[in-house]
Amino acid sequence: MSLLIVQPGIRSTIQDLGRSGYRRLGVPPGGAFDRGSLMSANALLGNDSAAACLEIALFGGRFEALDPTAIALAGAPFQARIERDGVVIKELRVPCAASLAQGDRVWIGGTPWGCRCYLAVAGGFQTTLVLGSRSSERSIVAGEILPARSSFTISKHMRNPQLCVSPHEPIRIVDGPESDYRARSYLNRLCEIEWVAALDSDRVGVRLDGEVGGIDWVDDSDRPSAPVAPGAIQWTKAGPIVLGVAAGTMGGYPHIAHVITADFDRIGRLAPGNRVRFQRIELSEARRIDAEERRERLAQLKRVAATHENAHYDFK
Amino acid sequence: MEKSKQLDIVPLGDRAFLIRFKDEERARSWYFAARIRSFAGVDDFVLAYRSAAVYFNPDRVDPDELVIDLESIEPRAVEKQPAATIVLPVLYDGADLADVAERLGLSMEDVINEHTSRNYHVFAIGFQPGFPYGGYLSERLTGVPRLESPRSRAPAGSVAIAGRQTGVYPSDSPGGWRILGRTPLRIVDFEREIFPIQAGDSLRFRSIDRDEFLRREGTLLDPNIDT
Repeated sequence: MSLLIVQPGIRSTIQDLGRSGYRRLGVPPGGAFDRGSLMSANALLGNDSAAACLEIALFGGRFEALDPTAIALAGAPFQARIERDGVVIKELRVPCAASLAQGDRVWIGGTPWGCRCYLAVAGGFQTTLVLGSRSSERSIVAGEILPARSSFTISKHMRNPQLCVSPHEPIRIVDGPESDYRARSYLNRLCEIEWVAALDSDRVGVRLDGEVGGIDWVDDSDRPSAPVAPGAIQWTKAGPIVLGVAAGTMGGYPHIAHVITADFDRIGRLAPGNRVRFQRIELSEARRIDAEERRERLAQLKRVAATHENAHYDFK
Repeated sequence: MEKSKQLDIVPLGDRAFLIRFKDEERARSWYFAARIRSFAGVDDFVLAYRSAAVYFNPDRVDPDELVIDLESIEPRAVEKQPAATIVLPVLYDGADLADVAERLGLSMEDVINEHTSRNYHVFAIGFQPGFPYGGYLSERLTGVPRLESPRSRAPAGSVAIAGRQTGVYPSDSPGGWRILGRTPLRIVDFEREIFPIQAGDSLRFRSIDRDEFLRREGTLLDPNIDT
């Protein structure tokens, strides 16, 4: 009762909404780097919004249903299709839900824009829970079997919520805890120019390439590390890094700014080579947007769940 | 932006606060005081050196009210909070021991004696799950820089130093600190969610021989026994 990994893709990992309450033990929250898309994939199947999905980055792979399985895809518009006996029987358009018969394979290719998509199964993948979450940084490998329940669903599509946000909109940030003269000049530079997501970006951090400018870099590696959180923008000699969901719980570089929660999923949607700008806003504004965003997301997930019939389980 | 008179509280994004202190001791007292109180909507407190962070869920708590609550914490009341002292057995046969001794102008024996001669504060747990940052080293042991290029695998249990700090690798990982030895004990049990060493604890090392190492290899550190 599960999904066999035929081709694993580049960096596919099992993710849910991560773990909270373990930071003091050095355990990062982890979880989906694009939480909104993970929740959409789950909503398409009527899953709990925190159910574990396969997070696919940059390139998908090929997965075989060992049992009838209801799947959903949400996130960046990756190419996707269902194959039966080596023949394509259905093209999928993300976000969508569909049913795989036993032996069917879903193939997921690349994406014209964005970076990640989520493959959900009805009920979520039943991989091992560690510290309250199934989130793992280990990439899946060919031959591995991801446990899932046998299920089916009616095919459905939804409008991609990612289309509502223009990638040209700047990502909004609030000031970080560092506020000395040097941190301010880094922050000004951060907001001044367009940055490019670097090739070596991953779930730990998105590195940004750009003209760092004539700001003196002072190496004070003796300064004690301080707690950080995903979304922290640290300034290093090589330029800024936006910490991702898998970043360590502490950091030593100057923490000059922080991506607002409402825009953080957009960091997870940056593929290497994508351009990005930043815009400073006040903390009170960030909180207002955060509250609004949480309300909207809840309403949207309810709509998706209400307008579609949920997945059905085939209990044997 | 919140700026408190009593506490140096600054926002860490829109769902956390960072509180900064004059020194490690003040940070630790405040952290202990905060941990024993319960705060609705607070997901986590993290201590690291001279600062502590509070992570909250805005669905459950109003950030401005949380600041008022955080300011009401009285660190003095628990300054005497007894922290656990954990004594970690170490077989000092590390790959970098000879090199460290040479760099410091000490004999290997001196390095071992110095390293085992004091209690270290666990200033933070981080870098990887369960990795204790201990400090500070005695002056004689201080000043060995990190490896220029980190080794790709520091084995689980490696006890290492860098700068004026000492730490223990809970699991195999890349690492740039200089390895003095290894403990036979596992210092974290992920599956059973046991993390015997916590930020704020006190850590000491004890030199052991190969027999004791072999006898205890693979056992989980038990703060009730290893004190």
